[in-house]
Amino acid sequence: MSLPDKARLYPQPAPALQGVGVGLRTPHYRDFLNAPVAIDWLEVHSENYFGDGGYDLHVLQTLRQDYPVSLHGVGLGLGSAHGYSDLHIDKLQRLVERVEPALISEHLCWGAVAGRHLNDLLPLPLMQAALDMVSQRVERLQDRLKQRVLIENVSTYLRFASDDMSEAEFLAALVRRSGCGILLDINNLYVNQNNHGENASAALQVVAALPGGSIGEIHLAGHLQTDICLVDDHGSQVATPVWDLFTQACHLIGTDIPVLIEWDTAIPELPVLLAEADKAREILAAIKPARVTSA
Amino acid sequence: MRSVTTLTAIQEQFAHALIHPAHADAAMPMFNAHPFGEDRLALYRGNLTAIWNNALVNAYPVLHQLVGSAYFEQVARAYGRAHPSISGDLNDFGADLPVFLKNIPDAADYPYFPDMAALEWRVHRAYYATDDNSLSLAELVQQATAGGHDVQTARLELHSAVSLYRSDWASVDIWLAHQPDASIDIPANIQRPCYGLICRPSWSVQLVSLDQPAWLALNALQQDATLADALEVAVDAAVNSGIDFDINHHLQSWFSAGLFRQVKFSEPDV
Repeated sequence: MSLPDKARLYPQPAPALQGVGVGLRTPHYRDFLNAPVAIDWLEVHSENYFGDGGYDLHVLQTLRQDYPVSLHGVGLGLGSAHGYSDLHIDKLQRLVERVEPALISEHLCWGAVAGRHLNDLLPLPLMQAALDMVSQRVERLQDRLKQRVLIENVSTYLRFASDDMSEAEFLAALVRRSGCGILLDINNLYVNQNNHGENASAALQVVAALPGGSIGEIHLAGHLQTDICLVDDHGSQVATPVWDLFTQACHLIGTDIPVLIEWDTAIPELPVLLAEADKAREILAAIKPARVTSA
Repeated sequence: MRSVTTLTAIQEQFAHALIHPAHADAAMPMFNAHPFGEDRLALYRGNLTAIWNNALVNAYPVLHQLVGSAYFEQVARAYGRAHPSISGDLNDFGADLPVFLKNIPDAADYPYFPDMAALEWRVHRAYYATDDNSLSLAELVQQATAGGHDVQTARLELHSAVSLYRSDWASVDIWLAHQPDASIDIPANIQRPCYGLICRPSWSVQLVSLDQPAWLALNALQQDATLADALEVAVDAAVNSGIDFDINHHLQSWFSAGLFRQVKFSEPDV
């Protein structure tokens, strides 16, 4: 099915979600519940709210009244050749019905083999067979959720000898086949550039060539430099070269795409995240007039 | 189909190399060659054991305190290998730890660990339980009156977040003594039975130490006994033990803790 057909089937809710958001994490619940926070939207890890009740879901449903919410899945493993759990999708669907998210996203990864879930975002062999399989699964997922799903590029420590294409080419083909969108993680592009000698700017060019609206969200996060590779640990401020790559991405694909600051380990006080969000806003604001003028 | 099988084989081999470090060499040819290739594969292995450990620390915080981080990590590593995660939701991981601990030889000196683990798993699951409505005592009376029923014939259904716990060890007091705001000390004598109630009033999971009569009454209600029968069980046990059982006080505290989600009435047998 062609992209225009899919675009008609699955609403692209990105215009409903604008500006800069942060990942909602437990240590910041109280900050958000106590007073309004100057942030445009919130993203949560879907699985953390899979319970049919309890405090986490209560907080999410409370904050949902004041902030648009994006659901970001970390446990489905769309690329697991063995298969993925229908129960997992049932739980996701229930959460979608409860929260009515502006965005739903998953990762381009795998995470399970027969009899064992590895609960990690493992690197997908970028093979034609994987593209066929993931395309079908993304279509089925969107059919179930009745909403476009964004698929995120992931950071990896290893690449496979059997890869048929780059990750950007894989995602571009996935968009064309399934009508999904891309969640473009700028830090992951940078990490993979360092870990594998891949050209992050070239990857940006590949996804920027897709029809407008194909990039539905941007992620920004910190990484860790180790002796053997960069590790995407989401445990620090966004690095300068990642901000530079973000600026480049905004020039190429626009400034009206929702941007998220992610921070998952060594979580700081909320103002630290908000300062990162402000920095993203400053970059967007500086580019916006230039794009308007050039248009 | 042939290439999908290959994709399956690559992922099977990857997973095997993570679980069994000795097989890592055999997996390396499927990756692009890199001077740090083995180290990078080991990073994924480290992630896996860290994920197991973090998930189990989250579910079993008191056990973690009792055994210390180093031993807990060993247990987590052994458990993760022996009891694979079967869900993409890590909050589901760890259900079999109580059984696993029973079979660890070097934990034999701490025979209360499996019971502590069973207690903590119930507390963990209560956190995510369904948000049922809680029946108030006034609602019970109102429903009985409206239907022309005797309150004593009430069969009370426990709230989804409520569970009952008993052990031959003083697990409840040990658990309570390890909370951040603990008001009791670690009991000197841990080889004594305990009775506990897990509930979730106001979104916060609580563990309450019960005496045996109260536990027996709630257990009877859980088994679908009428309120009259359940209270009779408790009063008999209290008399046998030589302790007081204040029915009004218990009813008030049970309903204020939101222990019940609904009531059905049945008339006495004729």
